[in-house]
Amino acid sequence: MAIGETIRNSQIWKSIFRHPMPLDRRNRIVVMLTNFFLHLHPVSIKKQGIALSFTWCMGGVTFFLFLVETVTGVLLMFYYRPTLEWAYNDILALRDVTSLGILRELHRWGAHAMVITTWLHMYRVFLTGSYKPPREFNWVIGVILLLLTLLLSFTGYLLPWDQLAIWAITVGSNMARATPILGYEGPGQQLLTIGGIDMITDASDARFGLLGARFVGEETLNRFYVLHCIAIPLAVALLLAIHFWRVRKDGGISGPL
Amino acid sequence: MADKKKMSVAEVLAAARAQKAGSSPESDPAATAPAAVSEPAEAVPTDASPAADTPAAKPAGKATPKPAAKPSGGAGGRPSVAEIMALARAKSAGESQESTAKPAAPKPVPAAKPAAEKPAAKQTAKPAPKPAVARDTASILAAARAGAKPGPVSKSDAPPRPVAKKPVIEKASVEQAPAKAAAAVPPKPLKPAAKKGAEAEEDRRGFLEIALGSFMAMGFTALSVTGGLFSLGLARFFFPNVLAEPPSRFKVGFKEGFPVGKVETKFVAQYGVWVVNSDVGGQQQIYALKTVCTHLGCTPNWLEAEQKFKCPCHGSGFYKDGVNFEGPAPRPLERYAIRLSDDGQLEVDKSRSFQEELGQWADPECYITV
Repeated sequence: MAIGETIRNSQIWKSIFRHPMPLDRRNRIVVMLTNFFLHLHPVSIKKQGIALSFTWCMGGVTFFLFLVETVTGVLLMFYYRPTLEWAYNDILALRDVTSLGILRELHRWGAHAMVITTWLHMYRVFLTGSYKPPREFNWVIGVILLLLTLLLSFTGYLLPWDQLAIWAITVGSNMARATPILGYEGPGQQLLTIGGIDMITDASDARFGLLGARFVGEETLNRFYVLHCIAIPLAVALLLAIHFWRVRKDGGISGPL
Repeated sequence: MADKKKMSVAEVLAAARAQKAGSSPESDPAATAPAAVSEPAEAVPTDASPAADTPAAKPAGKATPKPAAKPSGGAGGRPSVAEIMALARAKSAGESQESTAKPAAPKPVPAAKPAAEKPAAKQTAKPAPKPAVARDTASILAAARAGAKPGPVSKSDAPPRPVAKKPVIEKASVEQAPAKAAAAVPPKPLKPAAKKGAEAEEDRRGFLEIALGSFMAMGFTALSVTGGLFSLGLARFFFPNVLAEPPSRFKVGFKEGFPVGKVETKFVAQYGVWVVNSDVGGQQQIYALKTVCTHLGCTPNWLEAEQKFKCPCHGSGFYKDGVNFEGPAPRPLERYAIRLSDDGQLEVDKSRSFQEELGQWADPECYITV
């Protein structure tokens, strides 16, 4: 087709797509190596890597859900304000009057699904012994990722600011005040008394640092918003990168020991 | 001629070691004058007579690098391994000629042995400044380059200063050793000893020397200190210093507004307190109960019909005086401080709590007698 040829030979096209179409083996390899997104994948993988009955692909599904959550989360941020005045009403608005407001439900269902698939992934890794040396530390990273996923769920739960949210976070964070040494109602709290002054009080203990106040209020809402949208996702992204890197370096997914 | 056969690197080096054992005394002049021209041995590898003459001109058994063969050595550059080997082979070729001509020549013994002609004769012209103890390949080659201009070497990698060994000892040992030296495996160098000697010469670096020893070190030290301080500051950052809370002290009205038996619930939403007028242990009191269930922190409801506080979360039940009697609550509800203010109104102070199980309800600051 002449028009196709013209376009493909134009400077604009060539500046974007530097290599020929990946229609033969050589060009497919070239694209895998030179494309920013594709180069994160190996050029070829072993056949066992896609044996679904062995891998279950739950790790991949979890990562996919993480991407879904990120995208839907960013979109929700356009219509949500983390203040006492607006939080609850914005969620109602997303549900009732916003076009494609189903995104809020997708975000919520995706969160539930992500926790489930994380669990299934860990179960599969355990069943196939993929935590054995030299993969032990990758399991540790995975456990940290699990904790971060649960924290994402915890912090996100508060954001609709309904009764369920407030009380769930109140009860959950009340556990923090029983932390040993760092909680003002925990054992060893008086160990950090300096010169007769209590260092750990209800306004300076671990629970206070988590909530940003002495009870669940507007400060907590803002703090959990930042944690949920920026801080914890960044930590998860970093650990995910290391997690995948280690899988590659240890011989690819489901490689034999 | 047979000596045309190229020697392997191993043979060459073996011969060099043996050579060095017998020639270290004479090595110094050669070391300092690597550029000295001795004979173009390589030019006449197969000619016996010229070779016979040239060795005589050489220092006894000493191989001096030929300028042609080793221009870099003399010119101040570093001789490559190939050049060293070539030089050695040429040397051995020349020496093998000489040995046939002068069997009794005071040559290094290796050269005298026909069987070991080639490897024996060879020498790498490395009068090692180091003691003869070190005979491994690396030191031999290093010695070859010793006279040449050294390449860039970082302080941490620089070899320790060599310890001079007395040549006399070498000479004595040489007489016996050469007999089988050529074919024999050279004695293993006493590396640990050499190393220990070297280390003892340097002082161990103290912590501050390491941390501030160079600009780079100072930079990294500053970076780590800054990073540490920043982390501490960051931890403090997460604890706000100013809180926006409703005032902890507030007035709730006059005593008359609380008839006997009343549980006032209109302050629950805003202040989280019930103001109760009830008989406690024979005494009629007005007190303020905290609306926080002692189980996990939910807000119980006052059930007027059943005259009890009931928590909707897990079913904890409390009597009108706040004592727990059913459900998972482990202890009674807490009281706030309450007092009669100047204008006669009751004033609740949330900043002070009183727990019954600690006997604090006896404190007159937590109730008003009616």
